[in-house]
Amino acid sequence: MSQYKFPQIYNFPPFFTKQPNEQTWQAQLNNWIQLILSYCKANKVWILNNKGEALSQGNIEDLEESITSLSINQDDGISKDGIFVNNKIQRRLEPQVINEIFQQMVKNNDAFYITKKDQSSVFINFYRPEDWASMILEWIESTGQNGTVLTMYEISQGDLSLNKEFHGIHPVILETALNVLVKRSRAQLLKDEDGKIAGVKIV
Amino acid sequence: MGQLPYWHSVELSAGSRPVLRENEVDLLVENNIGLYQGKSKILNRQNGRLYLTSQRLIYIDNLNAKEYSVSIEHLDIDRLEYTQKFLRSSPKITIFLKKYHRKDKTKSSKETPKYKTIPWICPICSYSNSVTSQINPNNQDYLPVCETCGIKSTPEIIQDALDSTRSSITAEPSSKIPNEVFNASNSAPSQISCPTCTFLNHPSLRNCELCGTILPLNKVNNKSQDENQLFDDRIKIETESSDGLDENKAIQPFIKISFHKTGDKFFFTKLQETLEKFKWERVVNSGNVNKDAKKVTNSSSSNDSSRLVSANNSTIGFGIHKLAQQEEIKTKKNELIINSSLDDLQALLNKANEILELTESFKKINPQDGQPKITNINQVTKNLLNESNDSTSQKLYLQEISRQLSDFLINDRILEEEGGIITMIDLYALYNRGRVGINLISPEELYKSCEYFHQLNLPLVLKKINNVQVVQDVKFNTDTKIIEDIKKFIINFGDEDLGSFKYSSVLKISDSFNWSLTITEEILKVGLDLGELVVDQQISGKFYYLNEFLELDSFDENRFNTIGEQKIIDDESNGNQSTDPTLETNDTTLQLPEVPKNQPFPEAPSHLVEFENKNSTKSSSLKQLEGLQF
Repeated sequence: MSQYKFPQIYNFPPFFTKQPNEQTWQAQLNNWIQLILSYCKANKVWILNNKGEALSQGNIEDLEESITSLSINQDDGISKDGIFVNNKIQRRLEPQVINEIFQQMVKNNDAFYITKKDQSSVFINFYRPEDWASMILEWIESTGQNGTVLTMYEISQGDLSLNKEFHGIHPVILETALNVLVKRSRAQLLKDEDGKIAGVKIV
Repeated sequence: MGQLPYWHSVELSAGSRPVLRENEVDLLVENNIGLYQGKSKILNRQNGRLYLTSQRLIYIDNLNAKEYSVSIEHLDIDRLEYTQKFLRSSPKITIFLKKYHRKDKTKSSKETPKYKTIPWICPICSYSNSVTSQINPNNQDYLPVCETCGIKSTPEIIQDALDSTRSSITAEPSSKIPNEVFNASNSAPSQISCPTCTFLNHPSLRNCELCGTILPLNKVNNKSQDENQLFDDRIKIETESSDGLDENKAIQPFIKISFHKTGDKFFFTKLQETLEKFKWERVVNSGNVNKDAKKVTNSSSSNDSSRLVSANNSTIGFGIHKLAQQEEIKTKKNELIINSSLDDLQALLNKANEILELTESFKKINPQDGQPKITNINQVTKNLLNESNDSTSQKLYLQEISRQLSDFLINDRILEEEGGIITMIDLYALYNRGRVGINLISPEELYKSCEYFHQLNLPLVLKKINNVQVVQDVKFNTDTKIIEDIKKFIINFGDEDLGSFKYSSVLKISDSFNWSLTITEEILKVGLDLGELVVDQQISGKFYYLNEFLELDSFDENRFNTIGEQKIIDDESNGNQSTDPTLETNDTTLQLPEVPKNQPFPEAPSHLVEFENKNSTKSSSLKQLEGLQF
């Protein structure tokens, strides 16, 4: 995993204070969102909580494991304190501000909350579901798997998708992507008895 | 008669109030006054304020204060007369002026050579001697002797000197030069020593040059007080029609004050009082009080009273005589009591004065040298007005305070010390501290008088910065300009943090701009609202940066390079200006934050294009802000 290089604004101290001027704050907010998205994209962070910790990151092998294991992934690319703390200039973003940023991200469809109740962490759509969907579609078409039934595991962990962006994609995000395809009636979801998605058939 | 010689010009303060002499005090102000000379209105003097001070009557024109303001000395006033309002004619006070021995101009210029001394230069030592112009150069016996070397002059030298002076007199007979020569040569023995400060004043002066005390009229002074010397040629008085003073010189010259609105009666009584007081003080000052009085010794008076008492006891009188006698004894007794109590009162007053002096001396000892000295303000009090409850005179009072505020802030350099802006609260405190004593003004009055700044054309502005009322000097600029200054300041003098961003704390800005902290914070808030500045709030305080959010938008990772470049330019410009650290010279570096960041080493043309782009985006964002009001 390549080390993420923070943009210069990350070292700009006022970046960590919510600006009183609405217009400035909007610019600041957009900068934050951009920063979070590019950061998550570079580090493949699927879930971010409001402390800036990546709750789920990298190659997700197992859904159960990914949600239950809330241990922080120690990675060189991420500082121990997460994205919202800059130890170099000793600045820290207030949790309130982080929540506001999350709200805005959810509004922009850049993220969605894990559950409606728990708004402390969000899934990050560093690619929009539509983008994921078209990526998957393209992959399926290029590999000639039209019409075949694929399991979720096959998409995210299969050998065929090894060097694709969505290799190791978080299952929840994958589900949103597949839902987009369903809406476009390019896919059919096959569910098991528990209502979980067992497979998908893409046409 | 074109112009009475009693009119004098008035020194005005920036706020169009008269500058008073040292011992002079404001007593009363009345608005809507017109002036008459003799029977006729004086042109351009029909709408003004009349100040009654302890020494003068000062008319200040409302329309053109600088040009048309005049004053009359109490010294020149002989007596007053009051005329009631009659039909459409406003009530008037007629002031009869003392008639001075009047010399014709021609006569006086004829006279001057008689007393004039002419300089002659000693051929031996070249010392410039003087000799009266009456000298007959042909009389060998009375030729002057050089004051330094004792050599007698020759008739030719004196004749030359006489001729040269005469020609200069004929060349400009009306000019003041001969007069001045005359004065200078003759004044030495007749200078008037000021009774207060002993300064030797020029005999034609009527008030001491140094302390403003009225000078005693000595013989020389009195003699020299012909009208031509009183005449103040800085003033031009033009009457509407003939003033009626011309034809008959037996008429005592008079002027009239016309009260277009109210206040006439009160002004009249007050003027009368003042004149009486003024005369009395002059008598006291000249030491003429009780000049011929003999001191009655205490013992004799007590003897007297005891004799009376004993008489009272011993004889049992009858009739009216006895009653009268008893009455007399009674009054005598009362007098004694009153006298003794008055003595006590006098002693108390003396003590009070001593205490005052003592406090003054403590003030000097008080080691508060660092504190700025607050100048005492010549009080504008409600006493100046006849009816303080009346709304028009209330308005006049507020306007006077407003004028005085501008004097106070600008002439006494208070506003300058405060960096051109002062909060109402600070102003209130400062101003009231200047108004020593109990004549303080209320916050409401202060606010109302500040509202008159614009109406009175005073160089001050009352405005709001956010929610704080401030009084600001007009010559200081609008908020946006101030923010520009702050930006320049941050760029050039701000501290640099780890990411090479320039910032400044509130304190530093407050210090450098000489603003109070409140004002600095408010101004910075304006900067935030305008989007020009951003804040970094920490436990350790607030730090202000330039707004770089929009410029850092591009997530450009090359910024490190450009920052380095910018730093170099910064250093250069700072180096250039190290000799002159004032902010005004920093215009050249204003453009610095707009150095293009995307191109670390740009070629010249693309550099320019980039530059313009940046400018245009900036101005468009500013345009969006133009509608905002603060």
